Amino acid sequence: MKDVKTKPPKWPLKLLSWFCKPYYKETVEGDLIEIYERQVAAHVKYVKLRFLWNVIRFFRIRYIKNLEDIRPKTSYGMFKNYFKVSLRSMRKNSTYTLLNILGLSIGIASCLLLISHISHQLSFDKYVQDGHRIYRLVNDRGSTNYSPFTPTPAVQQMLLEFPEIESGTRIYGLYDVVLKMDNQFIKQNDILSADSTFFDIFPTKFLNGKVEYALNSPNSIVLTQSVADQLFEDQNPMGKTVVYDEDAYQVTAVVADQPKNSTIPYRAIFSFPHDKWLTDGNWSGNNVYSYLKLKAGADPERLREKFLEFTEKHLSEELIAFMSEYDSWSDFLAAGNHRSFEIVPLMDIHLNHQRLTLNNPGNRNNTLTFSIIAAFILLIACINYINMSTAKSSLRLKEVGLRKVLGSVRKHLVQQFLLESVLITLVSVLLGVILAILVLPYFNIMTDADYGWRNIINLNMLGWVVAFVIVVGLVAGSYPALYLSSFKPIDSLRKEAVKGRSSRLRTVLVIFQFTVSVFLITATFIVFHQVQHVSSRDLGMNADQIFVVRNDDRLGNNYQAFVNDLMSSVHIEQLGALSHYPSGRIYDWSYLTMGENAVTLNPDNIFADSSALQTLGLQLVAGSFFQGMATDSTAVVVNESFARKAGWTEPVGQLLNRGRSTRFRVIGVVKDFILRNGQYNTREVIFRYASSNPEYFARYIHIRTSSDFVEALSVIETAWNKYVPGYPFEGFFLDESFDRLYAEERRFGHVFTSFSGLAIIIASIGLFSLAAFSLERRTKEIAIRKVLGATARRIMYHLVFGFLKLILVGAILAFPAIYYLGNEWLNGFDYRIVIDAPMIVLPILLLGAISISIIGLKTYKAAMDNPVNALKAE
Amino acid sequence: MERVQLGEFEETVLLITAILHEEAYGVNVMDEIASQLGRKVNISAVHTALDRLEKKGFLSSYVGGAQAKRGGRRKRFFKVTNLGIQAIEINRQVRNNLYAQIPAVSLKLGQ
Repeated sequence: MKDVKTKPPKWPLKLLSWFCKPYYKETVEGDLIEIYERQVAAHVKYVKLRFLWNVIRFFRIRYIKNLEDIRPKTSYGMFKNYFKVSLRSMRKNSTYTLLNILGLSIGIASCLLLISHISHQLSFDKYVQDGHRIYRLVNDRGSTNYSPFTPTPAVQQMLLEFPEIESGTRIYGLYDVVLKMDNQFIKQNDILSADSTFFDIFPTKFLNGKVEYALNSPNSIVLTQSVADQLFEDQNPMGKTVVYDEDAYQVTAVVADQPKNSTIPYRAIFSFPHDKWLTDGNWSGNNVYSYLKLKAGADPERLREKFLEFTEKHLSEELIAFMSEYDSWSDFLAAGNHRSFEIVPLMDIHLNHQRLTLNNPGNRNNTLTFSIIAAFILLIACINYINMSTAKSSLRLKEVGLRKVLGSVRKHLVQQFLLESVLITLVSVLLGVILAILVLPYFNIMTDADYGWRNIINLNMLGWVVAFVIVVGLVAGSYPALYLSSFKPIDSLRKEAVKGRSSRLRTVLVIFQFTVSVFLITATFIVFHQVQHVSSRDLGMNADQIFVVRNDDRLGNNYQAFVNDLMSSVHIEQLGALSHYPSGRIYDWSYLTMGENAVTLNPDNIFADSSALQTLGLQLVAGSFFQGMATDSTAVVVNESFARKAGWTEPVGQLLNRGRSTRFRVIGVVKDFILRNGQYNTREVIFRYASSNPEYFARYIHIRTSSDFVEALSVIETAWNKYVPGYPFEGFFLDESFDRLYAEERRFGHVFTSFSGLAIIIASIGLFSLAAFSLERRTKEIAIRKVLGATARRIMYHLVFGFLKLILVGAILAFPAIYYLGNEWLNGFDYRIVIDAPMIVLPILLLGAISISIIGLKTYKAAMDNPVNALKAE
Repeated sequence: MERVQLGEFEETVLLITAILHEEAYGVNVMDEIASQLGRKVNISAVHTALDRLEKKGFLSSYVGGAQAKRGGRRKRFFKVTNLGIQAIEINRQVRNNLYAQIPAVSLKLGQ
């Protein structure tokens, strides 16, 4: 009876054995039971509860089981040991470990920056709901360089005829406006005009107002949050009015700011005026951008098939009426012309269709190039790691031998070395992330972007980081792991290590590094030269000191008075009005040559007054420019490219037409000049006369100032304020505008140069540690050579030459690739450099010089050292 | 003078273990603390202190024979090591040294 009572309750003991380490279990149990028995004997109350309490009190870290206790049959304990040994061996070779980690983390930091840039480029429009079903409608004239504008009625008509289309919208923009509020003029940029269906296709968050009423009445304006804040500060903007061009617009909604990765980064939207031309409109004028959203599951190919028929049905009549050369649509097609519609996926616009985006266009090739550089950088960093760990392997051979003798199988050793490399990668990745965030401000300057730390640390990047740790850790670690674990214990324990296999691979990898380095240095040279070449290109005109005044239509009837005022100043040399300015956006109009084999041309169309030629400094090669005579209204001046495309040998006197009635006579030819970025072919240009109606045709007054342009500017501004009081005076210097055209090239050049520079630095770090290490291993050899009579110079020559051979092999391997890819890249430019011998040889010499100085530095010390020091050290 | 890293309770347990000499184990030490100092401590606290002292090298332990009592569980006996003895010595000297320096005036109570 008593026995039963003194038996302690079972389940607290079970609890104890569940959590308590086996090592302590028995004695703790004993003590607990002893206390229990004593308390039972003393008739203490609540003994069982007290017993349980005492058990629970043992729930301390010291007594709780860890991984090893829970799964004693796994190799957890072994991993702990690997970890410890790895740390020890890293500490033992701390210099090399540091160099390794430094190289890897620079590599990873560069990769992270490039990836954040690339993924931003790829992210354009991806946020748009059902974006894969949205297409941009463009005119198909047989070339893939689609122009952005489409006929006004196209969307409406297609919605009626094609069941595949769910909805469509038309927009126009982005343009700058000057809004008037309380007699104050406020400039706003990135303004859009859009149909009421705009938000059906591009839904956005409405902070105020409703989608249904946002754009469906005339004179409505939808503001984004930031514009609303700017214009109305704390007031509620709903229902308030803003004045633009004397018309009052009512704020109908406030929406969230648009993300940066949008190809329609609007800041405010005007509802399209419900004019007749915009709802009915004609088919031959191209005035709007059109977007279509297909129904879910609709096949875009099926839609494309219907376009030709659609074009014939609606467009052909007006088109033929416009071109006197063809009697019918079939004639037009038979002459080799093509005219239809095409749909471009929204997702493709940013990278593939520079003319279709309303944001800064991306560039598929540049993005691809950055990806390749990122991969190269990572590869070079990996090679460094592989080289260093195989080189150091001889130091670890004894450890491997001993482990094998003590029962390690190969799998365990592979695990050990992989764990080690994953560990190093993990540290490098963490450092890399920190490094990337530190240099982010400089990267932003370079790419002209504003990435924040969120672009580096986010879920997407976390995926990349984990991928880095695993891939780099395994790739870089796998060779050393397999190599080291392959030794027979007897070989590895013997004094001299097995040689040969590993050093051959190392040689191959070093050659590969040199190949990549030569490639990158040469590519950098080429990119740098080309960017220089393009931006210092002869424009074919004199853009210096030309100040362009915007909005001269504001002058109205005061135009001539304004001009007279300016011309009376000594600081104004010349003045001409043009409808568009070079380097700006210029629209192409269609013209047809006359006679047999008529050619359709789509030149950039500019209206100019008679002094435009001299003001811009264009060179006349034949005929004359406009003289300000009555006949000028049907006269045109073309550039050389136009004449060439038209197939004229004698351009002056040739006729052109834009419809049945009007004929245009070519009166002069100007030398080709640059209108856009040098990456594009020289465009055909046609000048029409901006006759008596400057306020319609000429919107930009080009003013050549004296060298004292500060004085000139104040003269212009004074005159402007005199005739257009209160309206902001706006303008820019033409050469600066040209400069901006090359911003993208320059940006690409900067990023490319910096990152290939980084790649070369990482390669140099690898080369340095490899050279340092192999010299350390060869100190005895060098000493013996010296003892036997070799001079220091002879030894240096011997050592350096070994590396130079590798550089040469690398250069020979890199040459075809750089020649082919370099030419491929340069072919994208109309105005390009030629890859010549110095451009190939110089980088090789440069790399040679870098390598020699790295190796030489280390070798010199070794060669100059007293051999006794090396030989006595045992 | 060397410093010995010992907590107040640890020092108590170390001294008690030394007093119990070869007979010290969990319950025993707990009882001794209760009877010598009038201080009731939980058995888990005693175990923790003993194990910690062992880790520091001041105690060593061995497992005794099986017994009919205690549900047949064995006892873990603790013994003071040489290092432990040194620690006790050093602590004592430090204290004596400090005590000796107190001016006689300070020790007079209630004046």
